[in-house]
Amino acid sequence: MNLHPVNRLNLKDVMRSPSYLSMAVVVLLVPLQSVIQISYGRSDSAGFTVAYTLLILNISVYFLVNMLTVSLIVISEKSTGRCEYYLANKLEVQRLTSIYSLSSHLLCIGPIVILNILIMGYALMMEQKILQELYFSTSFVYFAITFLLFTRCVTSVMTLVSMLSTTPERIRTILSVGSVLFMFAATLTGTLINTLGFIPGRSTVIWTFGSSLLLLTLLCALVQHVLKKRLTNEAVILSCRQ
Amino acid sequence: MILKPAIPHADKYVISVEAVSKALQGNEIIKNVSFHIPFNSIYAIIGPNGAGKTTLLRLITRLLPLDQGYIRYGVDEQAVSVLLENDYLFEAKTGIDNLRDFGIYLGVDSAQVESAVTRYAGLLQLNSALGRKVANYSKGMKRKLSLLITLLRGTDILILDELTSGVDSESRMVMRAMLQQLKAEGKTIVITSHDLAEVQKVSDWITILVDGCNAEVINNATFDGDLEKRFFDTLEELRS
Repeated sequence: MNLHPVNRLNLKDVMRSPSYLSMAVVVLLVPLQSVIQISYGRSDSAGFTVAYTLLILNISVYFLVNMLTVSLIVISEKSTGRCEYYLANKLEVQRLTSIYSLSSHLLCIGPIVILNILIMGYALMMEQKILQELYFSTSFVYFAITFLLFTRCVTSVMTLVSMLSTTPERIRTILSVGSVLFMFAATLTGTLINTLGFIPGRSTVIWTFGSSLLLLTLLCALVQHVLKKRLTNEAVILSCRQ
Repeated sequence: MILKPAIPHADKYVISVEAVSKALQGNEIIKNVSFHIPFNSIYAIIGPNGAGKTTLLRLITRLLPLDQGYIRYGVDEQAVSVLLENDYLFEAKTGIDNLRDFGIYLGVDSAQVESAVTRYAGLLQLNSALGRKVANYSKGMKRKLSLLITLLRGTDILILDELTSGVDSESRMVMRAMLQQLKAEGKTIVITSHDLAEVQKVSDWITILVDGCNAEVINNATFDGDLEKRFFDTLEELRS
């Protein structure tokens, strides 16, 4: 991949940081263990449970890791004032922001890709039919594409918000709380669906998730467009604490 | 389209600031400031806290847009390197890693980084320190490293905000010698400082900024008084 040298530098620096490494280990092991446990389910709703859990885990892992990478790259550069230094030395603000955004996104997607490869590997080795059918379905490919678009857009928006915010540390708090709330809400919803007995099929769940992500991506893209127009040297400089 | 008026003898000046004003959050910070920085000079901007020096530098470096007036460059505007008041070093990394990483951000290739290190690290007495983590540096060493980073791009114009702030007298002497060396290489240097004695030793021209106004421009070559006394006399005159 032909990455800008700054992207490579960001990736190298963040992948060495203990907080990122710990987070990466946690988001690989815990979801993997969860998927292994539920894949042994034999109930009628096993297909729904596996699909729902897998999709929610992917999204939850993204939110958690995104909080960390945006914090380590964007918020840290903004809070220390290093941003102003780069801008003063003629780096273009749009270019700088897109570099930060790409670095954050790559560092988010990396663990997620590895997680899915591990689960797929487990499914193939242990002949878990439900997981195999899930991964090799058209609906999952659709979900994967919309997921990538969604995550790219959200990371970009979060980067822009952090660059324009006068309190970027608050963004970090909001992202942390948001990730936890999402997991809680998603788990609750899944449990409620199971309890009510109105259980959709596996494909229906995946298509619904994929389409929801696509819709959210379009909304995010609109927000991104508005924020990009506001992104100027003056806006970033004045939002830095004196 | 607004036509910018011609500035007399504009080709003599590397930066011309003409009737510049800027307000932030409803307060007028810079009020009708004009001065012209000659090529290959050391130009100092001094003033009390809150005079608007930082805002003026941000206007000159195009970090903030002007409300009124013009700032013209006699050379490519991109050929400006800036050292800000704070050091933005990566504390957990060594000096040489900081130079390489900032080089990456600033689009300077490794050969150019090595060349700058070879050329200036000895003058800044940093050679033996570059292999150590910045967290173990003194304030003076950090400031010198920040200056070295600013020199990586090899630009003809340097803007140095509070270069010797918080730095001991030995480091100040090293910085002074460095400024003379850079001037000898043909660079134009704009400095801001609270250290009036230091300013008087190194500068060719001095602008006194008070409450956002350009109170006085002093040609240091012909000025033989005490800058500190002149500065306080000017302040007193303006505030009475």
